[in-house]
Amino acid sequence: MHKMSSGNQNQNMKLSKSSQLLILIFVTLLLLFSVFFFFRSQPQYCSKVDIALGTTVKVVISSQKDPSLILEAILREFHRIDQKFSVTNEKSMIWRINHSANPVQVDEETAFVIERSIALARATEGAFDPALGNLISLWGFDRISDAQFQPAIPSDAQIQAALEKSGYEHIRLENDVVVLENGIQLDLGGVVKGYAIDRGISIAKEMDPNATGYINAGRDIGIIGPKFGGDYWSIAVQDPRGESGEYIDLVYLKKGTIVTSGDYERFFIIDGVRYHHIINPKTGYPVRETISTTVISPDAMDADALSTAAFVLGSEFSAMLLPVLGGQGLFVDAKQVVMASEGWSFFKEKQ
Amino acid sequence: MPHFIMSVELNELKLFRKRDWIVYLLLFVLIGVTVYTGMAASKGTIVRVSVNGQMRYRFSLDQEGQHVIECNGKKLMELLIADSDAKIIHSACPLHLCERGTLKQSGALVCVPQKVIIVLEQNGEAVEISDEYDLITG
Repeated sequence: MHKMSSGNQNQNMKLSKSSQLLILIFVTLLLLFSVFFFFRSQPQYCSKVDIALGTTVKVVISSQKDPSLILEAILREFHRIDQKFSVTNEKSMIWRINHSANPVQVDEETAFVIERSIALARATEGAFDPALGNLISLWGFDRISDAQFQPAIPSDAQIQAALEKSGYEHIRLENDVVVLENGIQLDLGGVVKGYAIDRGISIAKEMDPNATGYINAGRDIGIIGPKFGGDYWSIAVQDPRGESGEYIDLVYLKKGTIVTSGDYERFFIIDGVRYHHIINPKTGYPVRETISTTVISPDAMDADALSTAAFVLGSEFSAMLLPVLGGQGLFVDAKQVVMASEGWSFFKEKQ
Repeated sequence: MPHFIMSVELNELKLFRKRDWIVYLLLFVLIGVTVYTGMAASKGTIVRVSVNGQMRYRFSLDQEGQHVIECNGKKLMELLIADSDAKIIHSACPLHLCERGTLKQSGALVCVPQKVIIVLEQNGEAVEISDEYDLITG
């Protein structure tokens, strides 16, 4: 009886071991397939880098449709906008407006960009001004990307003369007809990059509403869709006096845009003094009180203009003004004191 | 009695039994594939240099040293590869903004006046390598 019982036990044990072996094999295979399908189910991102609007444009996209078609369409749009709104291209719409003695009939898109620029200028009491073409040209910041650019400091008299031919109040836009009064010149560089980002996002969404990814134009960023379809993109804010890549803050976005204006982006140094591209519309000289402003806003065009305006207005005033205009901001003044608007902290957490 | 129990337990815990090798083989293959994939990913990182929208040079991050970047016989800059990172030095552009930061710090090195874009590439796609964030603004 004892022997029989022992035999059955051994047989049970053998069966049990075979089962264990099968279970182990099954678990291992399951693990392998899980790993395989986990990586396969993650959206695959395609990317392309190009140069447009005087900066680098990187588009990263994942789509169930052909992502390369969306990438190409977005980059084509950037080049089209670059050509159309360039101040220096003699075939551009802005060149035509700036160099015409008569009223200029413009298309709907140009009218929209100019109209929105005037609205943003009014909202910021001229801290952002799309009619500083004479000043920007005098300083040379419209040609700073040219290989032959030679920096020089204008005289006070030249700056005064250019200031007198500046100011958005002198733009007349009625029924898609533009008139520039008082010898002013348009320079829409403060909004066009943002506008191109907004257009790029629209194109991506038109081609595939479920597309995810982002557009990074000179580190001004527009989110096409959440990372891997549902996660946040973690976005660092460059330390304006740190090495490239060092950051002062980190925010999380699933949508919207984030744009930074800094005195380290486009500048030249003469006799140890830095002259950068953000001009105070009241003085005609580069702003000295601020070194960096970052704005989060639903639209890149607004964020672009507001970051320039905040740079001119300074931290304290901007911290109060920005939320009223639909943005949130982080500001660094010349003493490298960092200040944020009240709602900025919302983006520091994954909500 | 304790000695008997011990010998049975040791017998039960014997490492290699019939057909157990299949499990070990599977585990070995799994670990091998993981390690190989990881090594291949790091070794496959390429520094891709484009000029005027055309891909001109591809360097492995292992190719340490100074590499001259030319276009139509004109020297544009030198690319320094060291410590698994890259940096532009001696650029022929007027403002030398492209010489700020390294490739891994910046995500991409760009010289706008000379239309040079330098990115890291893995499996044919431009990648940004940072453990701390996905993107940087400013």
